[in-house]
Amino acid sequence: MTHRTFWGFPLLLLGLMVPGLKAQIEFTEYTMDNGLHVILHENHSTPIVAISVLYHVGSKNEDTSRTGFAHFFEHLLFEGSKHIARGEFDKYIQQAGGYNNANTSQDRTFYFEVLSSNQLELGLWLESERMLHAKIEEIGLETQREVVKEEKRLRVDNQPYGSLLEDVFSRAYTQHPYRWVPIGSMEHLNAATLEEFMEFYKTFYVPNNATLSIAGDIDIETTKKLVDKYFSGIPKGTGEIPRPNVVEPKQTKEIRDTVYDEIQLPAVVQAYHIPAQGTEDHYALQVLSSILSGGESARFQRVVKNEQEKALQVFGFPFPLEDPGLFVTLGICNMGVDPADLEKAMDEQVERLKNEPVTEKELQKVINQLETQFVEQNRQMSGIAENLANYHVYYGEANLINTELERYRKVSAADVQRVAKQYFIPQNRVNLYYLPAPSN
Amino acid sequence: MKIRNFILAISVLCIGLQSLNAQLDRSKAPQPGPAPSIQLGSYESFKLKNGMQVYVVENHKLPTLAVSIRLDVDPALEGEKTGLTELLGDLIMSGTNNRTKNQLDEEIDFIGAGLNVGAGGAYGYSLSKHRDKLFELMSDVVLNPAFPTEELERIRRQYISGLQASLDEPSSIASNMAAVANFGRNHPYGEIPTEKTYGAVDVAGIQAYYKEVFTPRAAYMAIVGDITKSEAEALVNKYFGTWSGDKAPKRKLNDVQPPATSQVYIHDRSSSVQSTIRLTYPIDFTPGSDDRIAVSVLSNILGGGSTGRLYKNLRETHGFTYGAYCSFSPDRVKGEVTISADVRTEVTDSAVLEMVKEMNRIVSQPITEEELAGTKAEMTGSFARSLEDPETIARFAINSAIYGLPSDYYQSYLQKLNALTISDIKAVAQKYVKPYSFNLVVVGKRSAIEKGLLKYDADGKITFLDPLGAPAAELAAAPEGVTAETVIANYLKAIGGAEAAKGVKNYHMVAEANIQGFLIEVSSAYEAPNKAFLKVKQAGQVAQHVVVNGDKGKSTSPQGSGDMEAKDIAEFLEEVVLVPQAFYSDWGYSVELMGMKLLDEEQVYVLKVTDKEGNSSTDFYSVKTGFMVASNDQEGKTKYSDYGQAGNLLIPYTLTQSIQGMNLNFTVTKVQVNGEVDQVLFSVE
Repeated sequence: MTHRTFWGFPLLLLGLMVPGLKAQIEFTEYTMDNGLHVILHENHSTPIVAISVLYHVGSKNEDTSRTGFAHFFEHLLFEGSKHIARGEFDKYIQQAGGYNNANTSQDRTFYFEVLSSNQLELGLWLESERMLHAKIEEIGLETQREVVKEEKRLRVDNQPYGSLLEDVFSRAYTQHPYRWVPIGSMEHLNAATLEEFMEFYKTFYVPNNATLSIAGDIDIETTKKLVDKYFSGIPKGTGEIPRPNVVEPKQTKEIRDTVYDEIQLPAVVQAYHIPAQGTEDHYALQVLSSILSGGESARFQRVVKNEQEKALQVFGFPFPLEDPGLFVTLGICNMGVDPADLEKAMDEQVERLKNEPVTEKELQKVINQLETQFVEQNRQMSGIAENLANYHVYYGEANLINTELERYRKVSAADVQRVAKQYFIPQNRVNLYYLPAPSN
Repeated sequence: MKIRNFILAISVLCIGLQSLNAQLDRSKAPQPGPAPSIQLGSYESFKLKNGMQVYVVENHKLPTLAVSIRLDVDPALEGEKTGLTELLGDLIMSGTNNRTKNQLDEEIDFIGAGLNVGAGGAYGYSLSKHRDKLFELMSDVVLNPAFPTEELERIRRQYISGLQASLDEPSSIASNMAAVANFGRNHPYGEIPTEKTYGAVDVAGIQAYYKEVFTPRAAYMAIVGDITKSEAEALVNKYFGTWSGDKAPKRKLNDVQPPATSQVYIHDRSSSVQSTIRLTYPIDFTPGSDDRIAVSVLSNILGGGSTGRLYKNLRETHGFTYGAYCSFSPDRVKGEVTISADVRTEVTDSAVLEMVKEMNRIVSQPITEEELAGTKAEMTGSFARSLEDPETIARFAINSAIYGLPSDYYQSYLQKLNALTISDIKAVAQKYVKPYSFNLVVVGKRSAIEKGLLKYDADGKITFLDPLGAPAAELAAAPEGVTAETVIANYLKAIGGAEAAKGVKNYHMVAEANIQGFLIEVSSAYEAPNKAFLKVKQAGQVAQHVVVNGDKGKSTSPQGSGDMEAKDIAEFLEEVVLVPQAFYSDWGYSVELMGMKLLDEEQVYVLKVTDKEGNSSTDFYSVKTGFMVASNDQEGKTKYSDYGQAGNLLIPYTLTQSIQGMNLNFTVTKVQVNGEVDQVLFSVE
């Protein structure tokens, strides 16, 4: 099923390495003359292959008057190419017995297909056509405009708490392009012209802004030749790839607001500014999030949900992004609970993290949980292809797929306490209440 | 004990060797290489003395282990305790005879494992180095649950909260409605839990159910991953060898059939911007049916994904929706067909029309060779990809056992798939696709969709349901002789007469409310014909200040201040009038009597009042006293009570507003009618 979503949550945990496990992921990587970065992982356990192309462009690269552009463009790139008629893209995949999809986040646009391994060349042809020969026509543009509007209605407008991300990010950021979310503005999409799309294509959909990652039942040398065959002729982009260098000014005062939604139970959402993914503090915050809500024994679940019964659900998780992001804590009130009470209960747990170090046993538990998650995430070839590409693009080090757990192991109880004290302060957060909207 | 080894090589359908040296011709899709052989993988199975059947799939690709138990039991009618099996699922995880809930949670999380046990069985996973602990914990939960009463109370409260949350989710509302429409409330699949039925579930009932179905003689265990058969056998004997129990009971259920003619069900969700459409009906279609693979092909062609007809039609041709799909779900008791899409409100009936068209087309016309070939390729690929997960092979084995599939069902799956013809697909389309006898379930904005959907209801009578699938409370008809006009006239009479109401020259009123320790004060004044004043203070700060004097008007709030347009001035004057009912006909309002109902145990007439701009409110007038007791509009709900004297009129001294989730209780602290109003109030600087 091809959903093509803007949801594209950055992975909560990218992947970790467990020393001593047999699950070492071996890979080959190189950069072609036109700038395309290629990563190959050979694994013959199942006769399939996952092919992915990550373009380093997301909603943060958009013009302020064209928000939603990157995600919309992702839809358009299924429309066809010079050699692929409109609507045929998916048909090729289907007839080859494959599966494909794509998603767009703030930082990247990601396309992938999983095929039987004898269809590797088909996948390369399709992705190279997408990079070289995209063809967008008025009819496709108009149809996809409607489709994207329906996507927004489905996921945002017609969904309880559906506007949450937009509500949080639009308040937490005043300057940085994270202040809008990938789905963007429908008015902006209405105004967008074909020329603008072609300009966007020429700027961002160039090999020197892309990573081709392939994992599965392949032979490395043959695959290199095939990649060369389909991608070496694609010219390098001529211009500089624009990247926002906006630094969000430090928030100085707590932002409190209320959102009225078609909901029955109020909710409390808090978002604290945190550093970018990959920083030392990011790892400490990941560990902290597991202590707060990683499993039924975690503090939010055990105390706020089960003992105090303030919340139906309550979570805390970092929303890691390439530029400084947010740590979101989110609770839905149990029936009859005042959101102010739930907020207080959540704050108490956060205060505990600041006032007393977590125990060694809790830290060990988190590392054990992360170990399992690491292994699970590399269960499928598609996961391996995606993780390799992410690590390369965001951290410049694909091998983190094997070594990242070491970074988590370095996190100490003192680190967790320090980041809690540093970031979990009211003037560094947005605090939203969701309340039921009045209705007839 | 037996060892089976499934190895299967599918015939090479396409032969073509890739030639790397040839000049690159981008205009043609490359030919595939030789098809790889698809290995189904092997499993071993054995039976414990207590009757539990165990399947082991050894796979050392990753250092992990997954253990599952499937309980092969008939669904039970839960009646007044509907929701019992759901609550059982959470309660069983809330403590054993050896561990409190906290200890259990702590031990699961500490080894980084996942463990879930519910009414249908159990699932657990961990790194293989923790397997002993994983088995120990799963066995403790499955064999020794404590079912603590106080935990049941907590879980019940959570489920009731969850139920509340679901009342605004279009997809869960639609699935409740579909369950009721397809199966009826006297069938396990049509039972929807409510606050009341959750309330009726007790520990004794849960224990009785547990005892019946948690028995090794109904249990199929799969152990998949980094483990050998002998290791698995030792663990199973150690942790599940002492489990005992009888056969699970067989239950007889009502049979249900698709409706004789199509029926429409609507849940009115007036805030919806999309209609959630589910066109659905029950079918006789079991997992062991001979038609199973042909129906899968049919389902894929009609609406299996982005190459399905429904998606291509509703999304790619019409842009109605983000996605349109169908499913033909087999089930041992009763299968179900569902066509689904969420479409914008305006195109609701057009979308249904296209769905029905596609149903008709696939019944009456043969599919194309291309569609058949494409779907076979897709299903072959999907089958092969599913084998990436070693749990698939255990699932196949257990399905075969539980559903009594032919022993070579999965080995011969691809051959059977490839043998299907266009006429085979047409035959199953004619058998299972029912373009004239379906239940059309829609969650959406009734006022915008009801008319368009009426034609799909064969009886011309749409059924309205609430979010839990129960009949929506309909209004009773008002007695003969009662009209909107008589209700208004009665009201005016009750408060002091139409003359007095129309004759209000001026008034000044102050009302106060307390919220979380803050005082809210609302002061309003009016002088006929065109002066009006309103000031709202919150904790001493002015939150809103509006003054109209003749053709001038000014509105001030902390966000700023601005002159009002003529239209807003006119609207504001109407809002501030003390008894607007006296002027409805002068202002060109339309008033419609909708019917009667019980509101807070009081019989009321329900009136829909619409102004010239089309804004409407629903007002409730007491049958007994004639007073208006409540009013709902876009801004919120207001209740009126404590009618008392104000000049020669009666006005409500208490107003309870629920706005934006909060209740505000206003009490009138000062009121003066037809006296002297300080003209300063009406000054527009």
